[in-house]
Amino acid sequence: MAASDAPNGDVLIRNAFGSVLAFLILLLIGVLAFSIRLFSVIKYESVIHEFDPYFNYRVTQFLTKNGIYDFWNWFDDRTWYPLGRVIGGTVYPGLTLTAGTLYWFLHSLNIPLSVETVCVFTAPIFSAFASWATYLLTKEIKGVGAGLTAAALLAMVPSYISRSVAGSYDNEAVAIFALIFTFYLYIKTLNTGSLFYATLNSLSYFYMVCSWGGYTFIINLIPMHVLLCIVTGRYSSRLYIAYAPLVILGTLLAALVPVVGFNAVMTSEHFASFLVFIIIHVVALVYYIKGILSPKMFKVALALVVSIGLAVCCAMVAVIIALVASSPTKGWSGRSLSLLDPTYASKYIPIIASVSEHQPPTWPSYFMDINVLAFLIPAGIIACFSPLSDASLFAVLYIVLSVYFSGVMVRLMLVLAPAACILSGIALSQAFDVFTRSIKFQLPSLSDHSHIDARDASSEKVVLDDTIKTDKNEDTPKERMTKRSKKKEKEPVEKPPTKFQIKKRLSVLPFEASIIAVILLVLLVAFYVVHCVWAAAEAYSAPSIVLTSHSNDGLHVFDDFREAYAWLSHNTDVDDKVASWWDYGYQTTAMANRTVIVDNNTWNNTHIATVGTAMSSPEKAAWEIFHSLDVKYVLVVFGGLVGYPSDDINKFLWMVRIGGGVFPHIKEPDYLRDGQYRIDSMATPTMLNCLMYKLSYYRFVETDGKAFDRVRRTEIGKKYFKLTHFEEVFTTHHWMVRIYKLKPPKNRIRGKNKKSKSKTSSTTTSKRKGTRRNPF
Amino acid sequence: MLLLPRMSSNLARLLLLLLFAFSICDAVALPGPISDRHRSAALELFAPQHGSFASLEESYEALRIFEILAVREKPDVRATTCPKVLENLVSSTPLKDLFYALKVNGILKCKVNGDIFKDIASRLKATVKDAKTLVDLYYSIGSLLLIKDQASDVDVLLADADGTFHSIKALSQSDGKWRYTDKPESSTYAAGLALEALAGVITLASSEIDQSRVNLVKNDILKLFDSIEKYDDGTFYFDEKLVGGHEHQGSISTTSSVVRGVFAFAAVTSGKINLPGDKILGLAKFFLGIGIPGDAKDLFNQIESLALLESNRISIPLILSLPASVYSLSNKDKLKVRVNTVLGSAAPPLTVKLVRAFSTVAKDSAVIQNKDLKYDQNSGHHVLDVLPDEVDVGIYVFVFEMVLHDADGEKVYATGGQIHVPIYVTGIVKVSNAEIAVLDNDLGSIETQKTLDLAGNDIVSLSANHLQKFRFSFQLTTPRGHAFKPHQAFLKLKHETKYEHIFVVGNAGKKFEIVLDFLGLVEKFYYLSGRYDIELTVGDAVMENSFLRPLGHLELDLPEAPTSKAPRLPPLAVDPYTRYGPKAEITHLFRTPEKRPPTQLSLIFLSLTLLPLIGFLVGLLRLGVNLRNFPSSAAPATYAILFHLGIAAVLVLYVLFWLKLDLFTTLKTTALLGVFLLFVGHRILSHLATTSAKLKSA
Amino acid sequence: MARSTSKDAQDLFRALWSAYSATPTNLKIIDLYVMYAVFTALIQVVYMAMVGSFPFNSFLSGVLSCVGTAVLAVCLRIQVNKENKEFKDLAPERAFADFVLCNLVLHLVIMNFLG
Repeated sequence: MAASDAPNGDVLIRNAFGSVLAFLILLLIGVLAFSIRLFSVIKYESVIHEFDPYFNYRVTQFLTKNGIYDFWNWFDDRTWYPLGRVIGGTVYPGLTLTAGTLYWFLHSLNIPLSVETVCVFTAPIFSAFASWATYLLTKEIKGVGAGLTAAALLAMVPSYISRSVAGSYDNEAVAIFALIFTFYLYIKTLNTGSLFYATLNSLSYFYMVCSWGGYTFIINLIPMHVLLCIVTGRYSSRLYIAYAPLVILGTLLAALVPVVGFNAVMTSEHFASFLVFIIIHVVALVYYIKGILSPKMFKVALALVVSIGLAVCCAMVAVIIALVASSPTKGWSGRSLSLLDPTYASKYIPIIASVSEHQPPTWPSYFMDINVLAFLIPAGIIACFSPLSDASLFAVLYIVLSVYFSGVMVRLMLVLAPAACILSGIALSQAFDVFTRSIKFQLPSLSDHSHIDARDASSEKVVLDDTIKTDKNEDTPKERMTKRSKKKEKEPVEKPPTKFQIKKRLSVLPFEASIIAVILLVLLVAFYVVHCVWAAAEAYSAPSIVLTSHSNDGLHVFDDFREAYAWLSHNTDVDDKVASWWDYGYQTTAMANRTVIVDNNTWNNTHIATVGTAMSSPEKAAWEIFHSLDVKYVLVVFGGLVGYPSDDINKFLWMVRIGGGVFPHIKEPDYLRDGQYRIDSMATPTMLNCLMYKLSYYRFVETDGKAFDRVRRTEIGKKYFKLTHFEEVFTTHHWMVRIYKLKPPKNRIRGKNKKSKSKTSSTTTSKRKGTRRNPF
Repeated sequence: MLLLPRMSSNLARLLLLLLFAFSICDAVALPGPISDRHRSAALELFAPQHGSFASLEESYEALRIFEILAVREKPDVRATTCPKVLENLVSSTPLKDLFYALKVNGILKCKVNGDIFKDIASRLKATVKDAKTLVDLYYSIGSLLLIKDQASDVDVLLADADGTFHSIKALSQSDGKWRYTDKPESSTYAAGLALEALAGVITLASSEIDQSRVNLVKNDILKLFDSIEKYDDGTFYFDEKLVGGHEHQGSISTTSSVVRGVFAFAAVTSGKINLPGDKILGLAKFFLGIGIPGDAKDLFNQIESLALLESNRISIPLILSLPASVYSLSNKDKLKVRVNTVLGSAAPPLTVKLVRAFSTVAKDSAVIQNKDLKYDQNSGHHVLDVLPDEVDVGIYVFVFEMVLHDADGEKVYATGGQIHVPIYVTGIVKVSNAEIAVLDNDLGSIETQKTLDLAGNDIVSLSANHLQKFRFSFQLTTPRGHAFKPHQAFLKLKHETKYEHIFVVGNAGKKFEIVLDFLGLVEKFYYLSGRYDIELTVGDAVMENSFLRPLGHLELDLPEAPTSKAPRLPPLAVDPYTRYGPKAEITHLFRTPEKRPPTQLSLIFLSLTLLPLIGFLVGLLRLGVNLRNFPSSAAPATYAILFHLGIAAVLVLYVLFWLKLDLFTTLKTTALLGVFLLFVGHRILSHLATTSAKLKSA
Repeated sequence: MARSTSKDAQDLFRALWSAYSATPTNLKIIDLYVMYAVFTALIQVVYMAMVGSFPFNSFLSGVLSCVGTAVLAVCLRIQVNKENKEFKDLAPERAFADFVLCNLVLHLVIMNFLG
């Protein structure tokens, strides 16, 4: 078209120039994406963050040390004592393998980076890749300009930064890249209809399955899109080529991942794809027959084929329903159920509900995480609707679904972020397109015409829908936009043939208006950038194992966690068992290299409930539980002294709930004084006598005279008490981690001994006579 | 009436323990002298591994013991040990090895030429001069002594004997103990070494040692014996108080070291060390009381010390032992007593006199007074031929005394005054007029009564309800016609459901009687009606006819358990002996193998899968497929062939992957083949494309 | 009414047959191939229904390999079909190359999954 439009040579040159420019911009975006995530390293140090990353780090270490096969069947006896855990079969290996290959690659180049360094920087690298993937995807949807904008937006969207700052070495880091890239390849296949891309598509889907449990989002979203296309009569044989091989290959590849295994065909998260697979075949057959038959004949055929097809479909549906009903938990695992019913988890599965990132998000968190994009999305949606291509339809579907899911769980904001970026990218680029063009038209000069044509050439996909958006984007409030769009949507569809003339006339805006609009948009984007940088620097770059606090007398650094873990690793025996609440399991195994009872992969509710019960029962019972688990040390996290809010006392109610879920003698009301949770003098005796309270507040009164808890902002209820079955062995500098040792049994059964002595005094007296007797 | 449900075993154990306790607390069975069991034990413990012992020390101990015990079939280690001795007889070997080498040589008499002794002796003297630690002195002086015995021509006399004597004495403590070095911690074991060394010094002294110093050492010995330990059965021993410093010595090695030292010292000094005879005897008892130790070292210490005790200059202990301490009245046993030295050689002429004998229950009423035992020449026993009639069944303590015939023997021998020996006099206890009855509760009127002969085995079968009583009675009389009270007289009622109840049968005089009022026992019986087996247990250590016999069974019908407080049945007590028996075998649970189809069915389907292939081929023929499109010219043809070959190769590779290769090798090879395929495939396909394009254009 | 429908059906099938016989040979070959794959898959399914799917991975890989081959063949057919307007610019040779590649990948996976 470019040729037909402006048949002179320099257009080609301009295109070449444009592509080079685009390449440079992409490069810069990559650098931006990488460098904006380095705040944590600069402000703190190059450490692994949070909890799960430590497990991934440990697994990676194992992988790099023992090789892939040992990793594949690695039975970890350091955790879930005495059960142990099959790591190779229960972990999503994508991240680990990626980092491992990175490590090996670097070492084969003789670049001796430590495993930790590689792990720390994996996330930023992959966020760069992710932004490039976004570019490709958006380019497929709406051309280069939109692509670049979307990539730039994604490079610094806060919700993605929150999961991929340097050091947060978690599945999502690579998964998002895999997600976007899979979508890109899908759209690419859809546009070209080449089997080659279909293969690549299934391969990248495989990578996604390796990386993250969120792959079910893909395997449900794509079928929906296919279905939508079919329903809206947009079926094409490209769609078939894009979808059918993906289902077959993708399913097989997914079944290769040990975690997924046969779930890829057994659980109902995947059934949608099979159903659609059948439907698309029926539809394909219908179209084929329609193709080879005369219309009149087809009328006849339609009746038969459709009826048959319906019959088949019904049969299939029946089969699938039966399968769902037969498969365990109706085929819905707890997490996916909580996807469909947001209140499910909190009602039925306290373990899932107890994780903060499984809670539904609040409105501020939306603004915090995707900021102005939230306002640009609707504009993007409208842009997608004119004209509606398969790709843009996909984009719309993607945003709708991800908005819903993000409404269910906070952590799924992550899935929303790319969609938001893509759509806002489209919206922004369209808007800029219109304004710049109209501005150019105002400037009276001949040379500009060629410019315009060049821009038309470069973005000829975009041209079509400018007509609508001309006067629309100067103000962002969305309801007005949508209203107008309703009005205006029809025109372009009516008169496509004369679109160029129309464009020439319609897209002319009042000069000042467009100037102002551009300025406004630039301001908007500037605000977004500022917000993102702030979020990256302040909100999301704190590794939760090193804490800092600014006070009037300067900066305080609390490094208590590592202090405690170091103490454990240096002062306890290699195979001592350490009990703590499951949040600290991964860190204990990774940093202190000690066996733990429960950890963050919460696969065994009963075991966790046992620990919860121990923590919430009185000292003696707790001692017995721990002793039966062969526990040597108990570790509690206590923020009362420095005001660290997420400590065990605040998590305690969850321990009670989870424990009570399995062991009914633990009742939540016993710990609540008329419905509210308090640890001051009004607290219930059960609360004041439970192990967690004692271990947290033991000797707390000695710090300041009156034992004032800075987190709960009260004085504690019971200040002076002794521990009979536990002894304090270590407390970190700021009292944030306290480690206790179980006293050995003999200390406590002495009393029994006395009794038994007095009971059988006669024998012992004779023994006593015997003691001076010749032993031989 | 004491009621103990399901505690029979515990009770029995308790009683036995008590009996044991008070039987030991006033007299103890005497250990006999060394016997052949020691010899066999020695042969076991000192078994040379392939012809020689591990170390010279061990071989010395072995040889010495074989010597003392006069073991006949001792292993001949001469051939293997002598070379060791010779290689250790160099002046540069450490003192200890040298010492033991010499000791072994003293026994084996290996051929050693004198010069070796000479330079060893010179070196030893040098060490003696400037040795500081006791151990060095001990070894060097000991070695010198041995050289003295083995090579008479070598001059081993110590020039400065007084100095050496003094340097050893300087290490002594006020309490008779010695110090190894000048460090303060003192030790009894060291005292033994020191005394031995001192003895050596005295023998090696070129000039007479000053007598006053010798007396000082004698006092030390007396002080040392003040610190002797005592068991309450009259055995004496030394024990090492301090732990640490040097390796801790057990009581056996400590005692034997002291014995060695003291007797060596006593042997070389003129004049007697007046140690009380009973302590010497106590030491002997200690060593004999060990029995047969399991450890070679202990055995050596025991035997050697006993050998020293056998012939010492202070006083030789005489051991009085009884071949049997149980005498049955039923087959008129005679009371026999032997008197030996510790190693079992005969004692000097003496009379054993039974001062008195009393029953453990009535201590102060003696049943026998001063009787002399006759000496039986041929058996070497002192015999009391008949026990007087006062001696009834029961446990007695006999008090013996040895009277030596020649008066001054008292100074040479240690007899240890009066010796208390526990004697069990057993006999058959008569069980008479036993009767078993069920009587009505209110007015004790007898409903059914049966007399039964407990000696025979006749069985009764009774029936009762909870309103009735059960009475069982019998009599026990000793051979002398007195009343007899056994330790165990139990009546056991055992229900079909293995729940058993044990009652102690109380006695009044000769008559033993038990009355069970079922009304009161309903609770205890868990309201279990039905058949109860009755079992009677009468047993005592001195009762030759202790018995445990079934008396028959009792049909008991008890009321239904009140639903309100129905006592749930307690778990049955496990037999304590099964605890040590084999545990129940663990049966492992395996996954049941999935059901596999019969092979022929699978084969049939395999062939079925071939059908579509055949159909496919047939269809191809029907369609008239041809290879006209196959490139005719050379280069593309080769490419085409290579292309197909490549694909075939990849497929074969996959098959190999399935059969044996692992993933990564497969992937590598696939990559290589893939490059190749890419190349040829591109060539051939592009060629085809151009040809088809030409066709179109044309 | 029933007669009319049956008649319709008859000449419908006649029309279908005539229309189909018009298709070029290479497409017919592909169709044959698809048929072959589908029938093989069906036989395996029957077998599974009879004796149960114990080595589930084997069964899965067996059936899916057949279905996959069929699907890929269908894709190939769509691409090389002359009537199909969408793939004017796609040379049949290119389509064939993609087809081969896709098959190789598929069967690598199958072999890996076969266990």
